[in-house]
Parts: sequence; C-alpha cells; structure tokens
Amino acid sequence: MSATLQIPVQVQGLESPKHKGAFERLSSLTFPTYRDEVWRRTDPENVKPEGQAVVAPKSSFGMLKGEAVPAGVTLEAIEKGQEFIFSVAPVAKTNLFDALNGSVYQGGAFLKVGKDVSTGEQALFVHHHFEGKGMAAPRSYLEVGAGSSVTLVEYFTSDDPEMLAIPSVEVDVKAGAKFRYVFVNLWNNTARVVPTVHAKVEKDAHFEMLFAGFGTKLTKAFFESDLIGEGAKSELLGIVLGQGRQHYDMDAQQNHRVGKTVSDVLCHVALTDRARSVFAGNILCEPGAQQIDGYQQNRNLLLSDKARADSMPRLEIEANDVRCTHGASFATYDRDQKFYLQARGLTAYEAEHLLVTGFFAAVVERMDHEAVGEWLAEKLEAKMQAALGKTK
Amino acid sequence: MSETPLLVIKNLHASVDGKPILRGLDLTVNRGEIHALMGPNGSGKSTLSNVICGHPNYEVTEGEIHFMGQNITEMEPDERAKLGIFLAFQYPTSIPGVTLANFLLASVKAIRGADNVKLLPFRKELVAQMQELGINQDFAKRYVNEGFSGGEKKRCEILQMAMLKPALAILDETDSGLDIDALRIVSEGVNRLTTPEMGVLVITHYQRLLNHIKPHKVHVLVHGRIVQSGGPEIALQLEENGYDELLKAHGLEPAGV
Repeated sequence: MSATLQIPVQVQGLESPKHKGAFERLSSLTFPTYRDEVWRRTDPENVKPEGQAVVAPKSSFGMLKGEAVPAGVTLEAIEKGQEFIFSVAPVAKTNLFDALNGSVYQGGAFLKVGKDVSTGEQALFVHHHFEGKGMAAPRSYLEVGAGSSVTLVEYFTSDDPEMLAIPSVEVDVKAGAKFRYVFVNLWNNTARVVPTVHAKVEKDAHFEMLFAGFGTKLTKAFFESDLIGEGAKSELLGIVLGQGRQHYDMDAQQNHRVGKTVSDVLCHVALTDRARSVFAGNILCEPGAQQIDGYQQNRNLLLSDKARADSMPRLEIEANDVRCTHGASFATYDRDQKFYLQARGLTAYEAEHLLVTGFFAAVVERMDHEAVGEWLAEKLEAKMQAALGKTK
Repeated sequence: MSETPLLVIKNLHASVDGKPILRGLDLTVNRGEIHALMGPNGSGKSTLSNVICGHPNYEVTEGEIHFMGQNITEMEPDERAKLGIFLAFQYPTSIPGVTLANFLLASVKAIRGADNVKLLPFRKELVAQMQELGINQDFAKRYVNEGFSGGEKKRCEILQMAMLKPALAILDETDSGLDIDALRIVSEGVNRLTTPEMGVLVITHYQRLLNHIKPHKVHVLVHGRIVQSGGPEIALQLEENGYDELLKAHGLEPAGV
C-alpha cells in the first residue's frame, strides 16, 4: 500500500503563497496508516480523499437571534481574510488534513473582532451548507481582539451522503479576551469528517470551545490549544450523541507553553445501537511551565450493549509545579435514577430522554450562555428523537 | 355500602436476586386512613414500598397488589404513579444535569397530562409549595438532589408529593437522617397534604415520627410478614420493648444493635 498521498483532489486555485506553502507541506507528508498512534482506532483509509472535486459551501453569517452584528466585528467569507491563514500554527507543523485543507480550501468564515467588543448575551453565528457531491474543505480564521468578549456558533450541514469533509479552523484569542466558540457537527449522517481546530490563547485570555457531535458517519477530530501567555485558559467541552454505526474519534491536545495557565477538558459521550467513540486527551506541560492546572474528564453513557467507548487521557509533563487530573467513566443508565423518574410518572422512554438531556446539560451549562444553550437544546432534541425514539 | 379499598395486598411474596424477602404479606389501606408499618432492619419494609411501586430489581413471585380495584402487580412504575401511587424515597437519587424545576414540570405533566399544565400557574404553585416547606427558591434551579443534605432531600420528596397530589402516599423511612426541626417540618407538610380521600402508608423503624404523623393503624413486619396489627399503642409498646421479643417469638435472631 502506497503511503504517499497521490495528488488527492482536483487542486483548485493555488494562486496565493499560503496555498502554495500548504501544498508544499502536503507534498512532504505521507498519508497515515492505522499503525500511527493517533489513527489506531480509526482507519485512515476510511477518510482518504479519492480525487473528489472541492465543493464550496453556501454560507450565512449573522447573529443567532437576528440582531445586527455589533460594531467592531467583521464576520464574512474567508476569502477576505486569506492573509491571516496559518498564523495560529505555522504551516510547517500542520497535520496532513490541515495542510490539504490549506491547499484547496473553498469557503469558510473570517471573524475579526477589534478591542473591547462584547456580544454580551447574544451570539454570532455562521452556517455552512454544502450541496452536491465532492469534498468539503472550508477554512475559518477567527480572531478576537484584546479585552473583547465574543460568542460564536459555527455549524455545518450537507446533503451529499458520500461527502468527505475536512474543515479547518484557526482561532486567535488576544490578551484578556474571552471567546466562546461552539463548533457543531450537523453534517449528513453518512458524511465522513476530519475537522482540525487549532487555537492560540494569549495572556489572561480565555478560550471556551464546545464541540457538539450530532451528525456524520465518521468523525476524526483534532482539537489543539496553545496557551502562550500567563493567565491563559483553554476549556474544551464536548457533547457527542452517537447512534447506528456512527464513529467518533476525538483528539484533544492542550499545550501549556508557559506557566500559570489552565486547561480544562470535559467531554460527555452518549452512544446507542452500535455507535463507537474514542476520546484521546493529552495535556502537555513544557519544561519550565510551572503552576499549571490541567483537567481532563471524559464520561461515557452506553445506552446499548453493542455500543463501545474508549478513553485515553494522557499527561506529558516536563515541569514540577503542576496540578493535573484526568479521569474517565463508563456507565449505562442508572437503574435507580430511571426508577426514580418512572415512579414520578415518566415512561421508560421519557426517563431515558431526561437522563440523557441532563447528561449533556451538565456540559452545556458550563458555558453559561442562555441563547447558545437554548439553540443547542433544540438541535439536540431533534437528534435525540432520532437516536432514542427507536427504543421507545 | 363498602367502598373499594385504596390498596389491597394479598399473600405477597417478593424476592430480590432470587432471595425471598416478602413471605406472604397481607395489607389493606382504605381512603382516609394513615397506616404505619414498623419493623426491624431487614424485615422487608423498603422492599414492600419498592414492590408496590414496581421497582424492576424486585420480583413478585406470588400474590397480588390491587389499587382502587385494579390489579397493578405487573404494571410499569409510571403507570402506577399515574394511577396515584407516590413513594417518598428513603434514599432519593440525584439526577445530574436535570434541575428540580424541570424534573417537577416533567413529572407534573406526566401525572396530570401535558395539556392540563400551563407554565405560569405551575410556577406559582411550585413557589407556594416551596415556601410552605421552607425550601429556598434557588433549589428549583439546582440539579435534583445533587449536593442536597439528607434533610433537603426529604423536604424535596414532600415537595413532590405536594405537586403530584397522590391518592396513596408511601413514606419510606422519611424520618431517617432528619434532625428534630426537619422532622417537624416534614411531618407538618405530610399532615397538611393528607386529605380524607387519601391513604398514607408510613414506613418507619422508630416510633418518633408517629408522634407527628398520627396513624390509625400500626402493623409490625417481621421476616417478610405482618405479625401484629392494631392501634397506635403497638408503636408505643415497641418503643418500650424493642423488636427483640417479637423476633424471638418468630424464631429469629435479635438484631444485636
């Protein structure tokens, strides 16, 4: 089997130096195999591009509840922000899918927020919808200026049942800023998706990302945060509901580049039918990066005998004044909880529904954003009816 | 002229994990009656409450349970709740991520029918009942029983009883883990909520709860059967003499506590 990725897709564009740089990087990489540690539980052959044409999305930009985008916020198609690409992570360090995305990307979001801007209780949103056959490779660059406090929901939908999608997102949270970012997988239930989200968090800044995995047949996600200034905090929240034979593999990498930084990963996964999940988290503390707090928690709710979850939280610590905790739990419905709810009149289905809702609400409420919470609850409800309805 | 009894239990045998706990229990509770069921540890008190409510861990091997003339022995727990059976749990479980308010709304809708519950009147009723039971309004936003003290959990059980207005309330060792003040508040709540149409089954190890909730009838459960029934005087005798004599009379080892 050839490990080198033969010119994988019909490469369009390549007009800018950024595209070319990404393409050079791509050409230097070999396509992964299941022998690579990060691909042990997801066969990369299942997400190998096969020369599909890249399809551009129809994207809409605005506020979640229809208000005007506040002054100081630029939110539009990525084409306007090409100069910023590969500024969060140098192209020389990108993974193959990110380099491929950088070579061929079509569509995506460009967010640039000035200093001291707040979206308050409102939230920005971006919706990318992909019609027609091919490969989706949207790229987003999101920058939140110093002292600003911004919430953005970015979500993806698609029609093509065969779609392969490789979205990439770069996030730059400037000093003292707070950025809540909700990244929602609402792709077609048979799509295969390899998202990469890479964030850089400056001094006293707070990046709070929530990944909601509701769609796709297969997701292999790479989430990485670099904490580069003292007082920086990276929170990664995850809610995943898998049904059928859906497969979710998430890689959460938190890099403490300097001391006095905090990372906190909380991922709740509920699986029915034969769904499968993998959570691999790693907290890296660089030499000399002292007074670090790092937390990782992965809870799995297995709603059928055939569902399977794996959890591999890891620590890589090269400093000595570090407080890191990690943990994983696996459970099925708690019989006593279910009986308690049934004894209050809820049917078995209603009880299970409420328990799963609560399981996810405990994560979503960490974001403490009502508009986002309501929006997510609505999306989750539709997915839950599909996932749990059958067992009614 | 005799009205259909609320609860009739006939020759009930039940086991958990294949181990027999109830061994031929008979009990009848009519509307307007408060019954107390007492017994030493391990006699089957909590098993009875769980079996009446249909807990899946318990298997009824013989006998029947009738509620308002209907055989409920094989019914799902939620069907029994909808008929009007309520259990105040000895150890209420926590439900992470589900607020008390949302839980109660789902529950009240299930019992009264979703069409009969309007949000605003529901909220008003909830606030009023919480005030009556001295429960801080903030609890409505907290996750069900999560981080609640023993007393707070028991008060919330009575709050649920107040909202669900059952025909039969079973209080399973509601007094355990309560200090004197909490015991008083909880008992007052139960007395306030008890109507002449209702039946109440108070399950307790100690007599002290019966100073607050006055039973019409007292039964003593030993080794899975009711061995003695009578008036409130039985509870006082037990308080005086303990369970040892009863246990010995039935050929069982005293608890040795």
